[in-house]
Amino acid sequence: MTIFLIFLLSSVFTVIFITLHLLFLYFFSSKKIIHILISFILSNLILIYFAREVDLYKLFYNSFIINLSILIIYFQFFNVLKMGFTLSIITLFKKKRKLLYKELIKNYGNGKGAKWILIDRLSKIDKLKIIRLNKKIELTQLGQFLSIILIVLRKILSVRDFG
Amino acid sequence: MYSYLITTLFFLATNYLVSVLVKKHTYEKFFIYVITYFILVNFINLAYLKNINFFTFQALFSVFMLFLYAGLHRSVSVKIMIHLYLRKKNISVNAFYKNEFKEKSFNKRIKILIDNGFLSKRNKKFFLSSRGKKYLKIFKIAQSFFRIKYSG
Repeated sequence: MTIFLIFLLSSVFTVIFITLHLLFLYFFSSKKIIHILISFILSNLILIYFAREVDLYKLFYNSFIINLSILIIYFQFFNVLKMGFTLSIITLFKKKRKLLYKELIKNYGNGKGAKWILIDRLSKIDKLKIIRLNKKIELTQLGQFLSIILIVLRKILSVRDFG
Repeated sequence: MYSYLITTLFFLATNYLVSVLVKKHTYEKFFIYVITYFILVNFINLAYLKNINFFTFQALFSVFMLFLYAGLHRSVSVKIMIHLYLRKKNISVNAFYKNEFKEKSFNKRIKILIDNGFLSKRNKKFFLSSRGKKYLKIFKIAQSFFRIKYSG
């Protein structure tokens, strides 16, 4: 019974969370990650109020953990739709039914080309001071430290290949 | 407290065994493994321990592991960082694009799409299979719902 009540709270959270995020998307045309986080915090605050009203306050902690899981799933889903590398190859066929390999490379990312995605990711990690980007790419000390962590994590999770 | 530690170690040890025993340890196989683990552990938990905190922890743990694995396995940024660290020297953007990115990321994704039946190739031209077309329709709807003009 307790599990169902937790799921009930988390379902209420999910409805409020997605509605708030869609409001951000439709009224402010904003696709920033911070707006997903703002929606997450606001929905949890509303949920605390709701839980207090219906005497489910004690279950809020458990529901919050489930809500965090929902946030990760939602964030991953949104990220794949927005930045998915493989998905983007499929969406190239929106305009043309058949494409040559050269056209796949050229039309990638709404005509920006396949090299664009590399430059885009490089600039993002350059902004985070993980690499130094001129004509050459070089890891900073922070980058080296993070790379070690990533290699260790890959070993722990037995990730052998790149997808 | 011990149950949290034991299940985490059990998760990692079993995952290692699965990765050794299974031919190619892809994300899809890891996903199936995590779901199986989650159902099994919570079946035991809800039948014997009846610990709600443990259940919610396992839910967050499983989702986080899937998220982490996806990043470590597929992220372009992670691939760049590890490649640079292992080479121990600078690399030009153009050389990285030609030798690493185009060959080992872009072409590999196309191969994955062909292997999974999303794409087909005939007379040097690529086209979507019926499965690919079905997924394209779903993506189009999802992207327009979230007001995303293009991905990448």
